[in-house]
Amino acid sequence: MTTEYLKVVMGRTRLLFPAAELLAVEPIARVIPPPTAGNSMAMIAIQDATVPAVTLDEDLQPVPAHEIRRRLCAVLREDGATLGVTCDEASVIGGSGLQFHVLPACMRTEGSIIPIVAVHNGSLFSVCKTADLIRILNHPPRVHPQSAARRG
Amino acid sequence: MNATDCRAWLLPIAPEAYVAVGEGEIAHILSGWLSLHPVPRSPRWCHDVFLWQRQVVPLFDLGILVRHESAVSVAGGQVIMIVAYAAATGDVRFGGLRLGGLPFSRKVTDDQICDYPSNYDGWEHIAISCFTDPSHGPVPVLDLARLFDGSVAVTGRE
Repeated sequence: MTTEYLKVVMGRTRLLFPAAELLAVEPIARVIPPPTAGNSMAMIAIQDATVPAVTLDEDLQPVPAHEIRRRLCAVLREDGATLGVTCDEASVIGGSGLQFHVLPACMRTEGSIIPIVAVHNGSLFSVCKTADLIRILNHPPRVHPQSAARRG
Repeated sequence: MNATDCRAWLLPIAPEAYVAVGEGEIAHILSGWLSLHPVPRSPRWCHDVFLWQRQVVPLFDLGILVRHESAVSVAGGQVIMIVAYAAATGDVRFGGLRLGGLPFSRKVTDDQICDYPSNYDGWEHIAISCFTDPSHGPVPVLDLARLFDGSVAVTGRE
């Protein structure tokens, strides 16, 4: 049973990851943009290492690497895969005060990765797993009604 | 709702578009500012949840689903109606409906039953019947359990 969670804030989006999936939270020292323009995966230098990292918008859609403006990176690891996610704020919180609520079916899409929300100190957080985030970034659904309709 | 003779609440979901719920299905009406939590990668028509009486309530915008309208600004002027329904498990659940104005009550009788309006081809999946209102035309009566807990809205039928 996970007892601690990593709180990640990206604009209006507030996420919780199991703290066991957290490798580090580091300030971004340098962004090494990908060789292909428009690619969303950059290498980010943190302390003495570089990690692949993405910047996600409020709907967890990756934005081009050259748009990276955030100064913090939460480095997540699951099943041997490492992913940095740039963010505005990241900290570990205890799980004892959290209340979890399963979202109803009407909130799911083909690309859903948030099955549960949690309440912490009167605020709501979307509960996410690193493996699901990596999967959806590597294999986005062919048609995502949310993004298609928004951009249409 | 009792189909023979009953009262229904008519809910404005978009300009010239109305749905109805049974008289006893309204739990609360909220207006003005409300703190919404957007859930990433959820449908446009049900993208936010909010806290109400220590419960997490999904906010459904039928105007977006039915009329493909843009999301209403969170800033002001919105009315959110909290409805109560019985889940398949028997427990009472709550859902939020974003409205373009305040609901109003109507007496409905059997001879007002009609076909669903043509503005959306998925009415039969989220409504249980439809009646003709003298002022507003065909008004689908929502099946709240299927609207919030059913899987039909996943596809959106856009």
